[in-house]
Amino acid sequence: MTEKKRRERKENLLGYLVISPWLIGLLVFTFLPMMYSLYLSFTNFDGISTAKWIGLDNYKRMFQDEKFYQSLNVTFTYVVLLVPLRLAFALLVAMLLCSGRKGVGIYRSVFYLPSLLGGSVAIAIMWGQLFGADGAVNSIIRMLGGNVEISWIGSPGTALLVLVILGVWQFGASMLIFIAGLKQVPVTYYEAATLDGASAFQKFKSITLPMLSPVIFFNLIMQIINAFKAFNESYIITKGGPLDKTLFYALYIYRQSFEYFNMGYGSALAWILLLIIAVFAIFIFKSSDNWVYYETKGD
Amino acid sequence: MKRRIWLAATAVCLCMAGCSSQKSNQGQEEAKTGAKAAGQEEIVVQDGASDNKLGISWWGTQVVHEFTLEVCDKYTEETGIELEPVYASWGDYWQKMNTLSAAGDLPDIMRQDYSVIMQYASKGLLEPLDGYIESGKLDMTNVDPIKLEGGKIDGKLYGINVGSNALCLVYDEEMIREAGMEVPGPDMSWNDFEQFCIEFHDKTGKYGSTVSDIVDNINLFEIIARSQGGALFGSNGGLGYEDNVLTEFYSSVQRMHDAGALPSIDTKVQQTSVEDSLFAKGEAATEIVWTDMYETLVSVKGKELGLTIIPGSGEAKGMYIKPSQFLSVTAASDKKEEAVAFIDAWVNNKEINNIIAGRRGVPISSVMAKEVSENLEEPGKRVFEYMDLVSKYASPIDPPNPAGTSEVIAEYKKQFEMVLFGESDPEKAAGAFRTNAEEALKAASK
Amino acid sequence: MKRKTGSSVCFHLFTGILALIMLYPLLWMFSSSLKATEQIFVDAANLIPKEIHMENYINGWKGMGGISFGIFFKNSFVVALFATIGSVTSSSIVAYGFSRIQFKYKNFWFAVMMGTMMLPEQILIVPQYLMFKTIHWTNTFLPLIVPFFCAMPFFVFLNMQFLRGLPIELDEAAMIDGCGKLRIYTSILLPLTKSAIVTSIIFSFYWRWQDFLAPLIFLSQPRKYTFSVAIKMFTDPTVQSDWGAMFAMAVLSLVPVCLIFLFFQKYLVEGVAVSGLKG
Repeated sequence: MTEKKRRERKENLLGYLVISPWLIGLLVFTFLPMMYSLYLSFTNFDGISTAKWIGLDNYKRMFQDEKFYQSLNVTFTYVVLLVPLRLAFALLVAMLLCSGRKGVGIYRSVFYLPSLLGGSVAIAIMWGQLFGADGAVNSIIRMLGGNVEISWIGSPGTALLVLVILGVWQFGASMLIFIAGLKQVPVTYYEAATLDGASAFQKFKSITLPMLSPVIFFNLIMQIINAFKAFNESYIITKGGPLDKTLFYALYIYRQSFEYFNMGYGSALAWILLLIIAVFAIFIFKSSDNWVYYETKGD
Repeated sequence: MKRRIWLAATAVCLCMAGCSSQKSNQGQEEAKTGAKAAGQEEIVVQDGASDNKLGISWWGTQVVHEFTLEVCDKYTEETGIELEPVYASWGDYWQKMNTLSAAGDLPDIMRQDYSVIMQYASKGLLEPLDGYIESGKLDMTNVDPIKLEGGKIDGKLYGINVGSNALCLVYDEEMIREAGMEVPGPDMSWNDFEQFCIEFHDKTGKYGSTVSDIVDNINLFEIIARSQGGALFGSNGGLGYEDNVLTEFYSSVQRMHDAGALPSIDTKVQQTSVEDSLFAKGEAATEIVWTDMYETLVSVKGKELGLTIIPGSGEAKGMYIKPSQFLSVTAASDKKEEAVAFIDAWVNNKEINNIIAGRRGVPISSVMAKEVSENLEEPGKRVFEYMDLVSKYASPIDPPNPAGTSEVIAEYKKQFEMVLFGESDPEKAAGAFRTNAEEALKAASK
Repeated sequence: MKRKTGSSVCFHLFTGILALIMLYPLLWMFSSSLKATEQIFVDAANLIPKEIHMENYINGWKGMGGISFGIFFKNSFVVALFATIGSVTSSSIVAYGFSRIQFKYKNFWFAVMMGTMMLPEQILIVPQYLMFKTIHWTNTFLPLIVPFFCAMPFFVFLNMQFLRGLPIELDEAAMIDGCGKLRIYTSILLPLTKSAIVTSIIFSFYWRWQDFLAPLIFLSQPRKYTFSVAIKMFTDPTVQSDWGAMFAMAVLSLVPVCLIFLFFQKYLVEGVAVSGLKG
């Protein structure tokens, strides 16, 4: 019994030792700024002069803030559309590229490259060109006999959709992680299954999916967090317009904090975002027991 | 077994200690190499502006950076005072300045803008300059006092306006003549302009003007409001015009838009810069821009362009000359005297003004304006002439924008877009704008 | 055999068309970087420039105020390199702790770690600046490098997911052979999570390379600016912009991240299962 206890203590010590780089970083670099921003959310800080405590006013203000609801609405729609589409696409392409065919290396590079362009001004200009009224997309539709005049990126009904397409197009990062995950599945599993006469679909269902589930889980969580925090796309390309139809939550936080000089309110909005993402994350973590397969019982 | 775990633990521990000491070394070292490579012999770890150089900041692109740095070098050469410049492009500049101000780290001299100076001054971040003018340290003898008005807030001068610009209607004379029409002039009314655009569209199938510049520029409406005896912001902390003025303006633009005389509102988001406008691309006959953009448009279009005052503003003196940038001294600076001396040189020093060559607008000192304009070539000269024209039709500018302006502008654009997208009508939009804007102004003035 | 060629044609048709769609913007950017600044927008729909303007690259590289892009390039490289070394190594170690060692309150700390990723960085930048100012780190590369030696949650979580995909029997067998925990990590688990490490390297370098907000705020002397900050100085909505130079430098800024990717991605090919899904 004491022997067990002592071992537990040792294990504890070792654990804390190993995670200590992160713990130190948390205390030194992350914790203070986070707490400071939490404090700011209870003040009327304007970003340039001294902050004054105003209690819950910032949080109450949200209830009457039309743009708060609008930006939440936009962001939810974006997350719900983008995350599944991008992940499905990334997984599909990753599996194609793991098939060991010729030219796979080149394709992989080509598919990853757009992710390197990120949210630069260049992308903003080009995306505007592609989905504008006289853009390449409309030219193709006209070639196919359609008759369109609409500017996809500039119309309230379709602008967000265009940003979703941009997001799906930059699927490279998720794809790379899927590829890395697929590479880790031992070949022997597939060989054994082939011997048993399993079909490709069966192999996918009973080997690939479970073995890949930790990575799928990872991508899902990270993509949801990132999609909720999406900023560049609307900041650079649509500036939140038309009619606030692409006003992402993070863009609204930025505007309040830096353009409208309401950093206190911006901080409050940011903490609400944290809560929202946390709820989603907890939900997915809880559900993961049912669908994520680990070789080890991690916790 | 036990021993092994301990060994492992110590090993990890050691490794980490090694890592952490190594990491700071690495950081320091590379910072050193960076500085060395840059040919600088200064201490590696230092505060932003804590050395004894005079800090100065501005925004712009590399053309602006180049000549402003040249000015700094010239100044150092003449006075021996070294400058520590910080520069970035417009949006980045403000994000950086806001962060620096929260930390009490603002440079001694900062470039300020008309839309922001009120925020900074009212928070006590800027130094009033009146005393320095009285004591003669800041020599304004050659400056028409009206040119300093724009930097005054509650009677105190917080920034020296070092360049002016104005809104203008730029037009492509060739296109308009080809359509068999007369070019716009100073006596054109806004209704004439509406007719002009529609007629031009009917004759050529092209656009009369661009939609993004009309919708996004609240100062255009400000001029319209001033032309009818009002103002954008009233003295009572709210809006300073009658609702029907905005209703009519929204309706007029809506008529042009719906007649096809303006590009469809859904193309607005595609215009990312001046170079990108439908006017620059030869699809529109006119464009309403700030005079700073004129030279860019001329170089993109590769031909001379006409420019005149905003339609409807002539007789009623709705036009105004706007300070395009201020130089301000920050309140927390410990080198205010030196900062003021630099601004003085910017305004009055001949060689410095020849370096700037009017690229930041017409110099405010009449002596320098003359000096610079003599050496000026087209198209810069054309802008100088235009500014002369504007001063005939201009009345003094209204006080700097109150706190909350950015939200007001966002609301103005949104209501405008709603009208053009057909989701609201001009009257409703004008009303909604008033309600929301006044609410934002009230919240911001708290 | 016939079926195989058929599926191969389908594969190349699909991936080929996709590749074209994916590549278009890159080609567009490259072609824009060769156009005259005045032509970039007017002539935006054309992928082939009417005239080749190499001077965009020459003028752009000159930079501004006597600081060439060589200096910005080196600044970025130093920051990205050290930050990557830091974040990849520390994240892997921390991930090992979270996935293989049982310690008290582990789940709590893990939740905290996830939580730190959920605040938008824009809101943290002002408090961070205040903090780095008090320890006199502003205007040095330290704030852009040192925090990354304290593990990045993204990479910790990524490595964790890969570690947890490895059977615990590996550890147990090694333990029986007399390996300590450290040895298990360095000589057994680490090599097996190679693909996670390689992915981390590629991502980390790219993220640090294109990071914009932190260098903008923490560095004040233009001489210390990074590539991504310097590039933005070419364009400004309020004055004439040198779009040609901006595009030229944007193309150049892709070179190191592409090279890093091309160099490291081959290690992904050599994974455990080259012929994984054949058949």
